[in-house]
Amino acid sequence: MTEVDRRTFLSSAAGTVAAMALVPNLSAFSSYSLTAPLRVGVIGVGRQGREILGELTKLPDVEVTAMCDSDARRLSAGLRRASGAEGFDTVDSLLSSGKVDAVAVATSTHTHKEVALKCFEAGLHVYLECPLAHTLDDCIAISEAARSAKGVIAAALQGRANPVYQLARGFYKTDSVRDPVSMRAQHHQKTNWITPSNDAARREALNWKLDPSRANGLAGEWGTQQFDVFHWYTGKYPVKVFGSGSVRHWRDDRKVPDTIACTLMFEDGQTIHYDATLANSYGGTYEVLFGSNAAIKLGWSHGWMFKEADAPTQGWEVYANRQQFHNDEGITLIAGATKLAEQGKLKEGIGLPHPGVYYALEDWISAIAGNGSPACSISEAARATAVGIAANKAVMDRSIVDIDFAGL
Amino acid sequence: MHSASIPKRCVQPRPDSQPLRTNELVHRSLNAMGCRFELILDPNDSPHDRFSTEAIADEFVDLIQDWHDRLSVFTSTSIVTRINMAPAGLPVRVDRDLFELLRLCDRLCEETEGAFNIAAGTLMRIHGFRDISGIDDEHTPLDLRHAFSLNKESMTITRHDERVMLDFGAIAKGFVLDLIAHELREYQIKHAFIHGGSSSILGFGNQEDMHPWRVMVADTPSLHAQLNSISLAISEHAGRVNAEDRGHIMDPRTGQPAENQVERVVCTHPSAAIADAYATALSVRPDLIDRLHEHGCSIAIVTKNAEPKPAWIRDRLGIFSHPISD
Repeated sequence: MTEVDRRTFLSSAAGTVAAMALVPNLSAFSSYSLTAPLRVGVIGVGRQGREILGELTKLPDVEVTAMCDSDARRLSAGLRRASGAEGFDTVDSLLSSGKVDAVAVATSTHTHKEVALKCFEAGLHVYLECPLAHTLDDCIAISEAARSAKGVIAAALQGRANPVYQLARGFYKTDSVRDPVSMRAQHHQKTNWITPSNDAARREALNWKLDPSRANGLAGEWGTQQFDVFHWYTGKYPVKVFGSGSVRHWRDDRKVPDTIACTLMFEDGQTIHYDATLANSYGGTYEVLFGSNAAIKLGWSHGWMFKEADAPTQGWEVYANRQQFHNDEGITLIAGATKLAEQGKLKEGIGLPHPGVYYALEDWISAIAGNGSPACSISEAARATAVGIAANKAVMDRSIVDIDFAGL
Repeated sequence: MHSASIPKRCVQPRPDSQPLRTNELVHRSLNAMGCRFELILDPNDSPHDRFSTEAIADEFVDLIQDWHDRLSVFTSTSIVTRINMAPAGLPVRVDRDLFELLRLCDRLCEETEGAFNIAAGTLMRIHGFRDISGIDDEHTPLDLRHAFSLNKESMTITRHDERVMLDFGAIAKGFVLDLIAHELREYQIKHAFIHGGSSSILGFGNQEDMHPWRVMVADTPSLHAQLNSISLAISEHAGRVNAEDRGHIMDPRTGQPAENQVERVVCTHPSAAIADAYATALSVRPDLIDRLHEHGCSIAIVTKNAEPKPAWIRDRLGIFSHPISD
């Protein structure tokens, strides 16, 4: 952590609210130097693919030169967002075009293996959306193929590249939090997961998330991302999971629950309590790690630390920015606070300016530029996906499932 | 600001109409672009059931939010901020959607002789409506009519002066309504009502009683509009003022807040973006009423302390009901 000149800092704090930084300058997260613009293709320009497209256009020295989707309407919408990019309706035609040095794969989960293996084979740098796959066998196949891939391969588990999460992890590993007690997370977003279409056949293809044979429900699609935060922080993986789920609101004869709850159990008795729903948005998406000295709450663009009354106070906390949540006061964890304080923008800096996918993409590009390895490797993503797959099985069977990491 | 009367369900029913069967309609609302958007979609007469229509409504919410993020001058990561922060003379590449919006704005600037101009954002900053720092050099004349140029081949925009600040506030709401209208046609949704801040309104198809969507302009009770796949925009001088108590509608010709007798302009057009732009232009240049009327819109201009007089109404299409009489 960077040393802070407290006198300099206080001179730039406004009013009675001051905040404190114990992190490297936020610009350190965005610095990379490429010898030539990186030509990137996006494979799969549905909702997630278009978000990736939007964030890629913000990154310096990155040019989106191609994109691919088998759905003509989506491809057309994607091309409107990247001037100069060429469109392809098959992965093979994009890969043989010679127009890309790197690809971001954002196709439906059950097609990841087929697409990823082709991209690895082509020798490209690959950013692969998560969950990695919808079956354990596909996870293993992707993981094995990635080991011998020539390019820089990154998995899109966004927490690991998130500056606030990186900052908070530093606190987690200190006496600020101390003895880990338990963990919980939620994903609440009221939406029905339906992708509309006028055409019945197209509708069937687009709505893979609602097909249990092609996807792993909320536990797989969202849980994987959030469980991985805990894996990364604790260095451990759960061994069992109990789950349950049901349709609470979207009664359209769907087979995938719109509301689930899971308890993931570690060898040492620690647990993760997880719930997710498509029927209510209150609270949004976040993770909490409870410790005997403090709790850390991570909300993707924000982070806070809630100290226990009997926890020792550290000097910097006296000047920290705080937010009140009913009866709890949280210390705001601000990534890059030093630079923001120097610019007099500390209060504006609460909350990351970009969505999580931006930092994950930037991390991947930085690794391509030679700055170390990606924050999340395929093997780590494969284990996280295995947890998501097991959690979904537990939900669908309403049972306890042993989590299988064999082959990973 | 809220000029159209938009009651609880976004439509004010006429006394002789049937009440809406709101249990079948899909409703969404969100805060974006400095106002509240409300959307009503009717799944009847479309290939979609209610669940699919809910998903379509969610897509529209995402679309509005996406363009809010892209066009906001208050967000450091928006494409507009990147354009405004780029050195003058440096081309900035933009995507096709944004380039088309820029070309539209360029055309509308010409049509309105500069009364509508996205470079008026420069004036918003100078006159204290944007808390954004910039280069201060107000002594050198600034040519806002030629503030930027567009290159179709490279899809770039180049600002000609460091002080120029683009601001899409006078057209953004209408622009997203046009995008939504396009998607409504693609999805074959026949009936919908969407507004942004009660001042950019799209009435698509009909209300459930098969009459056009009916809107009453607040504070002008004699003025009603019937919208059937027509958009309506209201530009109002009242509302935001700066520290000197001057209004927020800028006159790009003078570089000052517009000061005339216009209190409110109501303008309709098949395109919500054009309705927005014309309404703003007419707030600055009410004398353009006949020219813009030729471009397919109905216009009502309300001057201060008065209902719209017949002389200030152009309504060849019969959009307005209850015509005003002396």
